[in-house]
Formats: sequence, structure tokens, C-alpha cells
Amino acid sequence: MKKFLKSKLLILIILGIFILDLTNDFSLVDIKETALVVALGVDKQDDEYEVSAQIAVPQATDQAASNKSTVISGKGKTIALALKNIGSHTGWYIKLAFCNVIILGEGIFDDDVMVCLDYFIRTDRINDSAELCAAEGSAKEIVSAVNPMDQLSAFSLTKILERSAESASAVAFMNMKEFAMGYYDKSGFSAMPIIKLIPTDGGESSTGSGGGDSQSGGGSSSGSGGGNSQSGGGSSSGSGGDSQSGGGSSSESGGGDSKEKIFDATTTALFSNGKRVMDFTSEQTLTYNLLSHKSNETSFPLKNVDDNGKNADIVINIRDNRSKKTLKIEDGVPVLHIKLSINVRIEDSSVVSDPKELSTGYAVQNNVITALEKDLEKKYKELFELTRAADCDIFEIKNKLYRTHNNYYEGLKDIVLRDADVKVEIDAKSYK
Amino acid sequence: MDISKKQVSLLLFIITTVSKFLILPSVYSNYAAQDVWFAGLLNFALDGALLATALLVLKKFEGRTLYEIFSDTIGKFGANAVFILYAAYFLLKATVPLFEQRNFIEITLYETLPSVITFLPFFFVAFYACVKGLKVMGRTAEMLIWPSVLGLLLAIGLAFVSVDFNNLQPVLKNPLKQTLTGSYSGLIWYGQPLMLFFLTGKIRKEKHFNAWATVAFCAAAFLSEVIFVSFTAIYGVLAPREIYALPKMTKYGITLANILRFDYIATLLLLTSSTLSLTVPLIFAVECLCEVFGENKRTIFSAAIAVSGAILTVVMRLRFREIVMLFEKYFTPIMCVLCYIIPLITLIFGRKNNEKILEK
Repeated sequence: MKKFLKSKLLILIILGIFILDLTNDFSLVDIKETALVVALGVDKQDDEYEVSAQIAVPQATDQAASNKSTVISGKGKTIALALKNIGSHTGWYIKLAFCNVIILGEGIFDDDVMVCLDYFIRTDRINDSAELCAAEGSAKEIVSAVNPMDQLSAFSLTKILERSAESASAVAFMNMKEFAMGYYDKSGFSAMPIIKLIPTDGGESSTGSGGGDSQSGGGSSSGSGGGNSQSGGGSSSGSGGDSQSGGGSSSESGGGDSKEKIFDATTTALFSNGKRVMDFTSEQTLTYNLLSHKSNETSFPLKNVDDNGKNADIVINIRDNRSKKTLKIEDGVPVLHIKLSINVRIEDSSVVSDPKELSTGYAVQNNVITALEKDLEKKYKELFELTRAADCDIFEIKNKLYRTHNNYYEGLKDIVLRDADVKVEIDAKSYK
Repeated sequence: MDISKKQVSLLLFIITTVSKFLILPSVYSNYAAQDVWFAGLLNFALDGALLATALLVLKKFEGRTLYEIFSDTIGKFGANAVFILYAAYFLLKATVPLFEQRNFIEITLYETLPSVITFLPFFFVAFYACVKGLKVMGRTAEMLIWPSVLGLLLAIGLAFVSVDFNNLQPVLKNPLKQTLTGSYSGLIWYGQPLMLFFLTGKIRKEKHFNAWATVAFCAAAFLSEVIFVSFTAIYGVLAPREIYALPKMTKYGITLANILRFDYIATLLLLTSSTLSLTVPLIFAVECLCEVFGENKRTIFSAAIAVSGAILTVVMRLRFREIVMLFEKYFTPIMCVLCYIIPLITLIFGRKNNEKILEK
């Protein structure tokens, strides 16, 4: 045996194995046949899903490297079938590992949304860190939109949504994992941002107020690479859009409508046990996000405030928020205590201020701080009542009851949301 | 051949930690829910008792190998029988982690590659390690300690970004019977201190060996518990679904979305260390067989084990769930006896040299 191990025959055998194995790329699926999906849109109509995949197609020119996007759709009774139909009709291997955004069309919300989403939870092909959002209208439109900021609309969407994850803003942040956890938790509460399209030529504006992070305004030019909506995406158009249940696929590049659009993600859809129950406006979203996200440069509007004797609308800059939500049982009544500590500074005012007030070191007036605290307190109580009426446990009272008052859980779980009271304590301090 | 205390301790640390970062947390959470950390703690307590037993055996039978102890106590035939049983034990011990790794590499890292090619090279490494025997184990542990520690710390650091400790509540409210079932199901991934039992007479006589071994084990247990706690804190109710825990836990940091998956550096470092963790039971299986049948057959046994392992992973590649169920139902009880009871019996009843039992 030792002789064999030291012999030249062994070297020849190893060389032979290497030649056989290493000369065909390990039978890897060729990158040219792999569709790198960066965004998925899911629509539902008449019991059939239509999945629209935005695919990044690298395209180098002699000036610069650039990306072009192609949108390919497939239909099927389930999402898995629809994706399979995309693959089988175009010949591309659909690689979902780079898909960071999943957009759900309005038709999905007629039913329990988890009926659609459980495919993404089951499969390992797509990361459960992919961001989830709802479309106003059709998800395909969002996926196909031509965006002036980025070659691929998915990148633009990802930037809006990710930025909101780092800082409290009027954009909700939700990924697959968090949505599923909320669904399966005791409270059954989940949320996702609603994506609306705004034409950049100053068409119908978004909800816009409230200092959210919407990409509003515009009119910026698209740049040379942006439009490219006419050339083929390297794939066939498949079976010509056959919409029977066997599924079909269609292919377009860059979007059917080549008008540039930007995204507004400042409203939020709320879900209770998978059913969409209500929507938050951008102001409500911002107020809610202050309890769950850290604020770095959050802008909060305050209306009708006495600013040195003048009635003004002020924008407050909020930093270093610390929040705490605890549930206590007081005399047999569940009481939710919300505490929020924030550091604030005046960012802007609708009236002209004295020069000294323009200094960054200028302390915020006590009346402004009091107005802010009262406004926030009122808003949280309103949110509580609104969502309670919709049977939507946005403050996760049932979760807290289960976790911290487990002995009371069986007795109170069905009535805790109805009977709970809320106490809000806001502590705002001026910072320099 | 003597292995140093440092090498043994590092080896114990590596094989204890890296064997627990894939499927085990989700196995626990199927039964233990939010008390995953407690199920792990119970198993580590058991392994701690095993470590203590092994250290006492080392002290009591200083200078004697395990085969010599068994020969003196139950005769040569008895010693051979026990060693063959242990060879089977170590082969079984290697099976589940082998499939676990293979599946992870196939599903997570190489989605579009044929599975046979991705994992078979491991068996060349296993063959070489089995031929070389114990002497490569220690030296490899010294090399792999830094990738292991760096990989673990990086992975835990990235995972901590998205923990929500509320998911660990209510604490210890899960029915104890279910938590104990979870503990029992996880036993397949424990028992690493048994290695010391088999190194009796082969560890260099050095001061403070007990302290080194204990510190290494406690550090490994602590880091493993941190993984269990983080896993439950990140996934909450979804935990049973999340196999391949540690690589999944690291991907929720926002930075990763911009810089892409640099957390795979941690995963790949740990997988490198896992190679050692997978080969150790195979090395001990060959050692047991060589004690019984002779050192001259080492290469044959090494080749047989490597080839049969390769065939098994190819033939049974879609049967991982069945294999785990088979283990839980039939093999775990037998493995528990071999792993926890026999060493204790050896400590109590084992004879030193030609010591005879006093007649009554």
C-alpha cells in the first residue's frame, strides 16, 4: 500500500480525476443561463398568481459598466409553479439568492397573506432577509417601473427601505422573517410599507407630509443608461403570454410604461393574523416607528405651536430616542405603559426666527417641548384606539401578556386587547 | 505517541463548539421552544460529568492505555469486544454530522453544483487523517483554533445585531417533559469529552492538564450557549424551521445588504474547523480497530471507512431526516451507554496493572 501511495500511478490517477472534474466548471449552471433576480412582484387574479421577476443583466459599454433590467413574468396556480414556468419557458435558471425585495400586489390581500408568503418561508432559495412591501395596485407595475435614480428600480426601493431600518422615519421596514414572526406570534401583528408610484413630471403627489423619507419631487433627468426600455433582455418571450392555468411567461425590458417614476413608501399596511385590516398614514407610521427604531435624523412635524408669540408649524429634529413598552396588570386590568424619551431640536419653522434662535446651541423653548409631548401622547393614544377598533395588536399586548404575565394569559388572551388601557409618558429634552 | 495538554484542550474546544452550530438549535427548538438554552445546558451538564469521569480515569490509570485497562479488567477478548463496539460507536457518531455538513454545503453554498462533487473531497482528507492517526489531530487543532475562534466571534457578533431577548420569554415555562425530550434528541451532537477517555496513556504528562481541559470545555459550552440564546432570540416562533442556524443568524445586519454576505467568511472559517470535527470520530474508529486487529491494517481500515462514508453520503443523501429519526429511536440509547456509562464503570471497577480483587 505504501508503495502505491508513493508511486507515479497515484499521481496519474489524481491528475486524471482533476482533468475530468476541472475542465467543465464542475458542471456548474452557466452564469449566462442564470437569471439573477433582484426583485419579485407577486400579483393574484382569478386564483392564479403572476410572478414578475426583475432580472439584472450586466451590460458593459466602452464608457462604463452598467446594468440593464429585464422583467420576466410567469403565471401559475402557486408561486412555485409560476417561477418554474418562468424558468421552463425562458430557459433561464432563476436564481433568487440576490432577490432583496418582494412586492405584493393588491390582489394578494383578499385572502390571508401567508397563503402567498409561505412559499418564501419554506424555500431556501430566497433569503428571508428580503424586504417585503405592498403595492398600490399591481406589483408588476412597481417592478417594471423606470426609475431616474437607479438603473434597476429594485436598487432604488432597497435604498428607501434599508435607510428606514437604520433610522426612525415614515417608512416602515419589514422583511420576510419579521413578517412571519409577527404572523405566528401570539399578537398576530405584522405590517409592511405600501409602495406607490409617482411620475417625476410632477404628477399625483404622495402623502408627503410628515417629514418622511419619501422620494418626492423630482424632475431629475434619467441619465443615459436609465431608460433602455426597448432592447431585448436576452430571453425569448416564451409562450406568448398564455394565461391558462398551465402558466405562461412574458418578457419585457425596463417596463411597459417608459415614463420615469419614483417611489413613495411612507404609508403602511397593517395586518392582523394575515388579514389586511387598516393602513397608517405617513405621520402615523413615523409616530409608530419612534417606538421601535432608533432615530438619527428624524424630522417630526408639529403644527400650531406658539413660537415666540407667533403661531407656527415647526419641524422638530429627534435624536437618541429610547422607548419602553411594558404591560402591567393593575387591579386586574391590563395596562400598557408606553415611555418614550427623546432629544429634540428645532429644525425648521414656518415663521422667521430671531438670529439667536438659529444657533444649533439654542435650547428649544419649554412651550414647544410641552406641545410636542402632548402631541405625541395624543397620537399614541389615538393609534391605540384606532388599531384596537380594527382588532390589530400593534403594541403586541398579547405577546407581552404571554411572556411577562404567563399565568394570566389563558384567562385574558381573548379580551386583553379589548379591555386594556394605555398610559403614555413622553420625556422630551432639548439637545445642543 | 504523546499528545500535549494544549493540543488536547484546543481539540476539545474545537470539536465541542463547531459541531453545534448547524442543525442542533432547531432540533432543540422543536421541543424546547424558548427554553433551547436550558436543553443545551442539561446536555452540557451531562458532558461535564463525562469530562470529570474521563479526567479521573486519566489520573487513576496514569500511563496505561484504555486497551490495557480493559485487558486487565475483562481480559483480552472482552477488551477486543468493547473496542469493536466503540469503533461502531465512533462511526455512528460521525454519521449525522457528516450528513448535516454535506446538506449544508449542497443547499447553501453550492446551489447549482451537483452534490456529489462538492463533498466527496472530504473523504480524501478523512482517509489521510485516519492513516496518520492521532498525531495529526493535535497539530491540526493548534492550526485551526484561530479560524474557529475568529469565525465564532464574528458570527456571534453579527448575529447579535438582530437579537430580541423578549423571544426568550416566558423563561422556563415550557413543559419540562418537552424540554427533556429536546435534550435527549440533541444527544447525538454531544459526548466529545469521551475523546479524553480514549487518549488515556497517550497524553503527555504535564502540569495543570485538568485545568486546561476544564477551561476549554467551559469556554466551548459558554460559546455554544451563546449561540443557542442568540438563535432563539432572533427567530422566536420560527426557530424550529431554521436549520443551519449560525450561518442564517448572521445575515440580518443592514450592512450586509450593502456590502453583501461577508458573514460567509465566518461560516467558511467554521466549516474549515468542522473538517477536523468530522474526522476525529473516524480517526478514533480506526484507532479502535487497529488496537484489536493490528497497526499494520491501518491503511485498509482507513480506506474502508472513507469509501463507505462516501458511498453512504451519496446513496442516503435524501434520507437525512430518516437517519436522524433512526438514531433517536434506536442508536441514541446504545450510544448513551457507551458514552456515559462505560467510562463510569471503568473508573469504578477498572483494574490497574495486575491488581487482583481481594477475595472475600
